[in-house]
Amino acid sequence: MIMTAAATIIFYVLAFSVGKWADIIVIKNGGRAQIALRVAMGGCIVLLLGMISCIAGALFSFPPMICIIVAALLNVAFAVAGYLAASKQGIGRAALFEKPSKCEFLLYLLILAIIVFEIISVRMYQSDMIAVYAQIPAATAIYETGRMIFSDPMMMLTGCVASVTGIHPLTVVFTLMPAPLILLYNLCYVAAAHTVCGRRGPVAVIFASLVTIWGYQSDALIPVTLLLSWFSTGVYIVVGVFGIAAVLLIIYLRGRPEKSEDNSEETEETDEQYREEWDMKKHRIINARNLAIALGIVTFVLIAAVFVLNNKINKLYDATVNLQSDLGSRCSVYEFIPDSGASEGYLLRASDGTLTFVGGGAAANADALKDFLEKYGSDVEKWYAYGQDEAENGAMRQLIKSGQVSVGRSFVIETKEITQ
Amino acid sequence: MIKELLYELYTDHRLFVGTGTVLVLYLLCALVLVMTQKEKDHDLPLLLCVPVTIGAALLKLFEACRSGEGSRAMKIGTGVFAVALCILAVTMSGKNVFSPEISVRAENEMHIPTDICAAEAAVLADGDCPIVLTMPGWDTYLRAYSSRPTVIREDEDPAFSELGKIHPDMGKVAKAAKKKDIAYVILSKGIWQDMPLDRFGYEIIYENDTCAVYREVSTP
Repeated sequence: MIMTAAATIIFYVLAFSVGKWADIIVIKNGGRAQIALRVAMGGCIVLLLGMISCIAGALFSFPPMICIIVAALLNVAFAVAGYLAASKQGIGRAALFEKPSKCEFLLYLLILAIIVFEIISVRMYQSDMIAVYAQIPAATAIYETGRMIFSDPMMMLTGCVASVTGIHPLTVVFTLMPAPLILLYNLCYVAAAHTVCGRRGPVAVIFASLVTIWGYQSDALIPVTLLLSWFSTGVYIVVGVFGIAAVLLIIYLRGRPEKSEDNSEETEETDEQYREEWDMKKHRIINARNLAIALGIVTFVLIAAVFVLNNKINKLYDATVNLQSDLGSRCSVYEFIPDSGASEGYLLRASDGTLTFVGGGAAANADALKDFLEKYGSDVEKWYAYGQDEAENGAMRQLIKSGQVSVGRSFVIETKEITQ
Repeated sequence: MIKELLYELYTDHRLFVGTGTVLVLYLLCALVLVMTQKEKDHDLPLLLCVPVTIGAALLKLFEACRSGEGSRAMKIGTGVFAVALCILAVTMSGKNVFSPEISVRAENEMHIPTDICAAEAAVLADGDCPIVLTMPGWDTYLRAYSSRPTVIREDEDPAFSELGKIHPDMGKVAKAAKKKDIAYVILSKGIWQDMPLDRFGYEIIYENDTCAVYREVSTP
């Protein structure tokens, strides 16, 4: 618990310091600085710099300790540069807080309770999804070997932290990382909601949190599902980077001056001159667009048809292979019925392919029996005849004598019927 | 052909979007935002953030209900639509990530069953960089726990597919394992073995309530 608290505090001190750049960007675009955006963007930058130093570490074969030191130095340099840039541009201390109303305060408390619930739950409950654990072996390899290996950037960073602290990556992922990362990604939600919805933002964040808890959909989405894979690069991009990018884009678009609308008479004349030309161009554009749509549809249908056909052929091939191997691996019994219509014997085909024949009958059945055996292989391992009379083993003797069938060992079953 | 195409689309949709209701919910909410943000289209990059898009759209609908503009019927309609979206968001948009079918109570800080950790520790204590075969699903746990053993992947070995059967043939498992020089086999104690693996050139070196560790018998 102490380790988790220490890791969270260190991470957020760095995030707050590096996040100064968020204030600069927002104020330069005519926006208003906000604490959630500053910390969220700062946190994303801290992680990004950590991942970059790990990739560089793998490239130049640095040990994990050097990677962590480089990441720390980069973060400190970035933070100092941010403060210097802010003071140079006269931004200085930006007002980060707006005093919340009582209702807002209560809503923020509710959000905090949801975040705490999420953190406690991911620490207490083990995901039953193998895809969640499949991301971690890279971090384990870095932890055990002490060498940086190219892999998923977040896992490289996790491996580095594990190697430096001496804590197993699984413990880092499931004990140390939930608190800082889940809080960070929820701060991205808060920043986005506050930017768009203003003081009613907390309500939107509560809806967003509920969707996050109930939003698990399919196996393919596990790597980007926040509460299943909070430690993955997928979540960092989808929740962190996309969230911050959305906020910065909105602030940029809001700060951009609107295009001026000239309503002078000169433009009316110009409009008259170009109207005819424009109509022609418009028709050409529409025709080209329709053609493009038609071509697009045809291409899509063709690709889809090839895809479906390919899929079906593959499935059919797999089914045939499976069927062949299945039939080949089973023990099968075939009944020998000559023209007389009465059953005269049984052929047993074992799972390893060896043949055993029981019965056969009189020499008159020899030709029919030869044709029958040819279908399954004329190399009979064992032959059991019912008795020593010609009527019971005549066919067998004739086939062996003529060499049409090869028999390994032959036996006679002298059985007597049990009578009461 | 069309029927097959639709079936393929349906299958892929299930794989990537699951039941698809979050996507439907997101598209509905995006539509709400696009329709209501006509004068403020600079806020549309919010669509990059899926959960907040849903939250912001629902908030917009509730605000529309409470505002003084529009007819009474319009307000009621908007309110009903918003409540329906809320129900969809909370109850039908997917599975709760903490539901019993997805999550189980963790046994330890590593979130890997303790018995599996103990079995792998036994293997590591016995051999330095061994090749290990285990039950389907457990290989990921073993690789996450330690990178020292070479754990056979599911798609690499016929012995692995044999272990995936309800009643695996240990003879086949041992034959395939020996072919690949697999020194250790970690088996679940929950599987039914007609002939145990120690009849086929492997000896048991460790066992607990969940699993048993077998080592290939080597002659000097």
